[in-house]
Amino acid sequence: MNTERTARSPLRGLIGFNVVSGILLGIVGFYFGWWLGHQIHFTNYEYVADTGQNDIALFLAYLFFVVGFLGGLGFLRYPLARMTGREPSHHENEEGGIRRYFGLCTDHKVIGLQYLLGIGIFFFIGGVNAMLIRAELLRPSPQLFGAGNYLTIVSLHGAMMMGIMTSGVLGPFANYFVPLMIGAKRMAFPRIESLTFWLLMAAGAILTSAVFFGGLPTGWTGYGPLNVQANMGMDSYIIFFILVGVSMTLLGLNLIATIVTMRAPGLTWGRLPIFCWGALSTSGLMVLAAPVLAAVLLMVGLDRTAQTSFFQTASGGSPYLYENLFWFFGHPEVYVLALPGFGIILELVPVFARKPLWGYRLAVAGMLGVALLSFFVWQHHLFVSGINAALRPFYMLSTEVISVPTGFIFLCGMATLWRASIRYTVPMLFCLAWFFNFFIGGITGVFLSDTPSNVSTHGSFFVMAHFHYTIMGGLVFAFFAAIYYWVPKMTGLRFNEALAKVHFWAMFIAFNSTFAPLFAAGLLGMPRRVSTYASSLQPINIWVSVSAFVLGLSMLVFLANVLYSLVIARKPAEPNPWDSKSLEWQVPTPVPVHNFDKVPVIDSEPYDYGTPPPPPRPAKAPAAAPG
Amino acid sequence: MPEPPHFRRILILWAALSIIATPIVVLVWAPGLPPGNGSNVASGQVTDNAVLLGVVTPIAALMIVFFTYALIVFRRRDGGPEEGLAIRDHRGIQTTWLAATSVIVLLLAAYGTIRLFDEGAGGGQGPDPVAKPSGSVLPVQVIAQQWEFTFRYPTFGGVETPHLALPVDRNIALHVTSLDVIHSFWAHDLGVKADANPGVDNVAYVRPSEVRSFSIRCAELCGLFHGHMFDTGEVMSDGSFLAWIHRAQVAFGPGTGALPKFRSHYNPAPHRRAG
Amino acid sequence: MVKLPGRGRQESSADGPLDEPPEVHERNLWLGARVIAGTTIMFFAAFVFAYFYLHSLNNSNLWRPAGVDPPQRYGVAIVLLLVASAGALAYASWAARENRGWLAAAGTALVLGLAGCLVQVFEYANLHFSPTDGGYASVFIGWTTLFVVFVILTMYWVEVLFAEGVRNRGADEATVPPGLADAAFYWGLLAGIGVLSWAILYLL
Ligand code: HEA
Ligand code: HEA
Ligand code: CUA
Ligand SMILES: [Cu+2]
Repeated sequence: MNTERTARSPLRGLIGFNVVSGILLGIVGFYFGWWLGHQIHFTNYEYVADTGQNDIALFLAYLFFVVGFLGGLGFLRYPLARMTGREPSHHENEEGGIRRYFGLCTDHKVIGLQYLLGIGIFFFIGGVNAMLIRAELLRPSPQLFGAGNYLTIVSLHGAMMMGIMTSGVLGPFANYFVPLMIGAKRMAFPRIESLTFWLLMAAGAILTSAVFFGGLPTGWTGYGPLNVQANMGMDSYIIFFILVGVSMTLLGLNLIATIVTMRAPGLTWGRLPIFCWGALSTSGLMVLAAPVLAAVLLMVGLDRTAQTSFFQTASGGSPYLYENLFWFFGHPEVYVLALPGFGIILELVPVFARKPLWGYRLAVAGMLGVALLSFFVWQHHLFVSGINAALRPFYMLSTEVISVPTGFIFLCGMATLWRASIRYTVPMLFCLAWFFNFFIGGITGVFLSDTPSNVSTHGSFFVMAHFHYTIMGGLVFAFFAAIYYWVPKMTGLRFNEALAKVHFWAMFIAFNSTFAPLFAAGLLGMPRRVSTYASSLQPINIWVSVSAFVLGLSMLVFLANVLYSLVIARKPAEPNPWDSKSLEWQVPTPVPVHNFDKVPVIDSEPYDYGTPPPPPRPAKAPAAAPG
Repeated sequence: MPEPPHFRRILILWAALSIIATPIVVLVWAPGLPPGNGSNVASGQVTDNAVLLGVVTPIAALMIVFFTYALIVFRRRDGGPEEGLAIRDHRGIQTTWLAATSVIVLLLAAYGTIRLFDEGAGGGQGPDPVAKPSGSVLPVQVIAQQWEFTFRYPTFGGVETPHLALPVDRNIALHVTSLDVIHSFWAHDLGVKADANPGVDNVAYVRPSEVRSFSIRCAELCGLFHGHMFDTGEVMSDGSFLAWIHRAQVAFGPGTGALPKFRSHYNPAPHRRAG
Repeated sequence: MVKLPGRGRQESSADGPLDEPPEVHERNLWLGARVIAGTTIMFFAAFVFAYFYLHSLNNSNLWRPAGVDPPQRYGVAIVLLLVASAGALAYASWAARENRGWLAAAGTALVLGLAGCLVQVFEYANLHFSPTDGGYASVFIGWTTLFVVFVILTMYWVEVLFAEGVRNRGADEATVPPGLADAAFYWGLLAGIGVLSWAILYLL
């Protein structure tokens, strides 16, 4: 990290376009919008306008908050200058030490680190919410929170995690490393890249502010017509997810353009690192699924403000419309959470197995296959809803077929371990744990996709355990693998190995001990999103809560490690501690602003590890061993 | 030193583990799993889960054996080679894996479909059910609203009761609907779940197979007191059921008269933020 | 030539570290416009779905009560303005390729597009139904409003190109701002969606 100090006084540094002016202008914008909203009087809106439940005012307030925030960060200068005919440029604020991290900066490495910190903050908030959930569920009847607050916490936890963590891997790691891996000097649209980050931060703040407006009772899925009945906190959720959708779309757009057009000479599709394939397939999902989310939430917004009736059965709408559109986005969304993880795992395993990635083409096919199929399965969330019941066999089939491309990823990972020379470093441990966790998560998904079995498990903690195994056990484990693997490159500093191992083992054991029993709780009939459950289930829940607290503690070990290694001890990392052959490890640390002085030319296959296999033995019994 | 026959060893270990584990899982463990044998559809789900477990156990066994073996045998040893063996591909393995997983999922989907068409497996099938039981069916309407369930018996004068009772060994059609937001009627012990949507008649079939009480819960988030939307229902012998419903007709008949006439679904006023 | 320890080598290239061939930016714009086109299609597909889905359900017989009809003249006016604007921009893009003057055509496209949005606002002022009047009314309001938002964003792009053209006018008419062809492509697609929207909302 570049920590040069400028000679100017720290106060002077605060003046200008940065996050401070962004927040100040954002607040001004908020109150302006709020005021403006109260000036508007439509017929048949009077009733709401005067009750302190003025949704139009809140929507406008958030809108102007975002405008003010972005304006204060300096995002409006360039678009306005362009309106007067200024030439396009791709660079802004790329010099200037630590201050670059607190504003609009077009250096993809700065943005990567911004993302890592920003995502970390919201992940932490989501995690604290999870701890509150577990504290409440220690007893079978409401104790800490009233029913409404409990739902708010669950909704905020779910929405925060699903909204922010969609960029959890791509935001920090793809932004930082994709250009390095493909030998590019920048991302395709650097300003948009910065915008995606700050939009996400605005979104997270807006979602958190829901607690000031009565919270929201709908969970992260926001089903109608409950979403119209709900308090003003629902508006926060709507704006949050729309901003997340915009941010996702732009992130995807940027990654697609970068990977397709900016590869260095010689970096053919067959030589692209597998992590870039993961980023590419995820981006495809993001640009095609996120707009549907934005559309459906805008419909909710209209139902809540303009009094339309998209989801009102009694006046010509239908809640089914919401369910269909939401899950048409929602299912691809869950693979947006999974695919970057696949990419990281397959990227890292070869390095620590000291072997080439086995079945490169198969792995790519697996990722693209998952991405494609994920648009055809959404009604598996709606098996008992009464929607198109006759189509359920189709959705059961399409969902189960996704196991096949996902299985490719497993096969490639497993075969890469074959006759390897495995080094048990911390990133590798996280990768191996991923296989364990994701297998359990995936296989229980197969049970859920089986319609007769789903009848009992839908809406129960079985589903909840399934997706925490795939997301927490899959995505988040891959996320930590990436942190331990790449942060030494990003910061030039080394993690404390012992603390890292403690973190891993505590997290792995506590994670499994938290979520495995919840499969049983679900099968025994514990519904989701309730703070009142059968008292016979209390022992399981106590066990789970205690494990969850240990899981939270393991995260504190991680934070302690971050604090110790990156702030206090600051031991420099070796330039290539893992002996990786990938391009991002060949550039100096800290990476120069424009990455490469000279355009690199790629002349070899990726994952050039390992000793070549011995020549085939002269014909004897058919070789049984793979390889 | 020649390379030991890793592949054969793994195959043997895998076969052994699968042969031991699968029968235990399918025959010993699976039959005792929820939702139990409270109804025909619940038993069907138990069978279904047993079959799924039977397919999944060997896959899990493969994972366990492979990873345990690989992580121990292929670890980096002191003084051993630094690098692994640079193999990038193997046609046969890829084709076998592709074929095996495809066949497995196709069979699973086919089996699931067959089970599903066995009277709908207890799930809500919407207003026009495709999988129906043969023989006579007793219709019962489940009306969900924030935050309680009530039940109407159209063949008994449309009487509306606050609790659910069902006769044993009779085909029941549960007509689930809602008066406000989405709820879901979940009778866990009977293996029944069907979402309650406003303006929709969502039908699920069940034939309770023993006299018992069962829990009812709301399984779709429906607002503030979603967690309090539970009740206990009773499966009764035919005689007790008739006695019960007659008592209910006496007690709730007058009240029912004041209610809207029985319909397959109701269209209450829309939710509006503005009046 | 430097051989990297890993998988590549760094070749001495003629240009300095910051320069890059201008095609890179052009290819990015080309691809970016196509990707955003996909996003736009999915966005409006949600409304197409809403239209046909609510139509087929016709809950409470309130899909489209009698009298819920949009004023046809406005509809025709809007769609003609937008199509004309897209046509003008397509012409501008073609003319620029042929080294002819394109600025006037781009300016026309801008004016026509904004006029289309303005007519839409007038239409709202003259609607004979309100958003509360059932499924069709909801879809109509939502779809057309959001369509206008997309049109305005596209007009921003057209304005930027136009402004750049104006600034460069004296220098050399032949300098075409990068992205003109892509803006024409995108605007053509959006106008196409506009025609489809009109056909569905006004004619069906
Ligand atoms: C990272 C996120 C993620 C991932 C990857 C998955 C993966 C899968 N999910 Fe999951 N799912 C969620 C996140 C995820 N899910 C979330 C968040 C919800 C709930 C949302 C909510 O309601 O709030 C959910 C809910 C959900 C449901 C609805 C449950 C309900 O509410 O009733 C279903 C039903 O079909 C389902 C199925 C599957 C399947 C079949 C897969 C498959 O992709 C899994 C494939 C993987 C494997 C099978 C393992 C590896 C494969 C092999 C080793 C090959 C050999 C195996 C075979 C041949 C079987 N999921
Ligand atoms: C990304 C997705 C994600 C993740 C990671 C988690 C993580 C966890 N979740 Fe979450 N959960 C959801 C997504 C996720 N969840 C969703 C979508 C729902 C459904 C909501 C709904 O019903 O609508 C849900 C619901 C849900 C419930 C059900 C509530 C109910 O239905 O009544 C419960 C209950 O136990 C729970 C618990 C937990 C726990 C204990 C963790 C733990 O794993 C958390 C541990 C993490 C921490 C303690 C934070 C530590 C963070 C740091 C230390 C910062 C790191 C810093 C840097 C990286 C720089 N979750
Ligand atoms: Cu009713 Cu939840
Ligand atoms: Cu899904």
